[in-house]
Amino acid sequence: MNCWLWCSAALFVALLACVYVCAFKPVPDRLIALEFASVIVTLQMILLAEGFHRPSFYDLPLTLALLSFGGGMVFARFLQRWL
Amino acid sequence: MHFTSAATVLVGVATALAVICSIGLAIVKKPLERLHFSAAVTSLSAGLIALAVWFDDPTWQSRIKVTLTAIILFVMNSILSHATARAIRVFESGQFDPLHDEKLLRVTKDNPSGAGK
Repeated sequence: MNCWLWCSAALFVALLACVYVCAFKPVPDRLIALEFASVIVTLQMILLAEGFHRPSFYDLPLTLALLSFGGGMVFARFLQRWL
Repeated sequence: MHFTSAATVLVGVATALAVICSIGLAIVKKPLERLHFSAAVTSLSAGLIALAVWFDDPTWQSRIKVTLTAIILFVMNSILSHATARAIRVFESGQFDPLHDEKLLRVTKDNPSGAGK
């Protein structure tokens, strides 16, 4: 294992914090934790792509970064209007 | 060799920052305070990891893609943070505009700290 893969594994700690907030905190906090988790997963995918030396894997974090923006906006709008 | 060491340091700092911010996210009480931790990771960690890839990986495909990802994260998440803060404000107080009895902090030349009189 190289440093990229170790750091990718270390980021699971950050994901655990997001799981805790999503499970036990009120609705607005959960939305923030969800957005934070999507950023962390994007960073993890970059680290995995570099750790495995596969440049084609970089398409996945690129796509996730774009889609998480759309998803976050939809949830924010939903929270603002209907909850 | 030096570039690989620099990449290792940058990735380590980015990861440590993300973990510290996640702990902060879990500890603080108010949702708007949590939003600050989320924004810090997006702007700093993504940039540091992109810089580390530039140092470590000689292929231009990886460099361009990771730079694009970091730029997207930086730009889109600032917009998303604003939208989320606005949604939380409406969710908590029912409207975006200030309430009648609400005091606003106004930073001016005479009042640089923004503390209310």
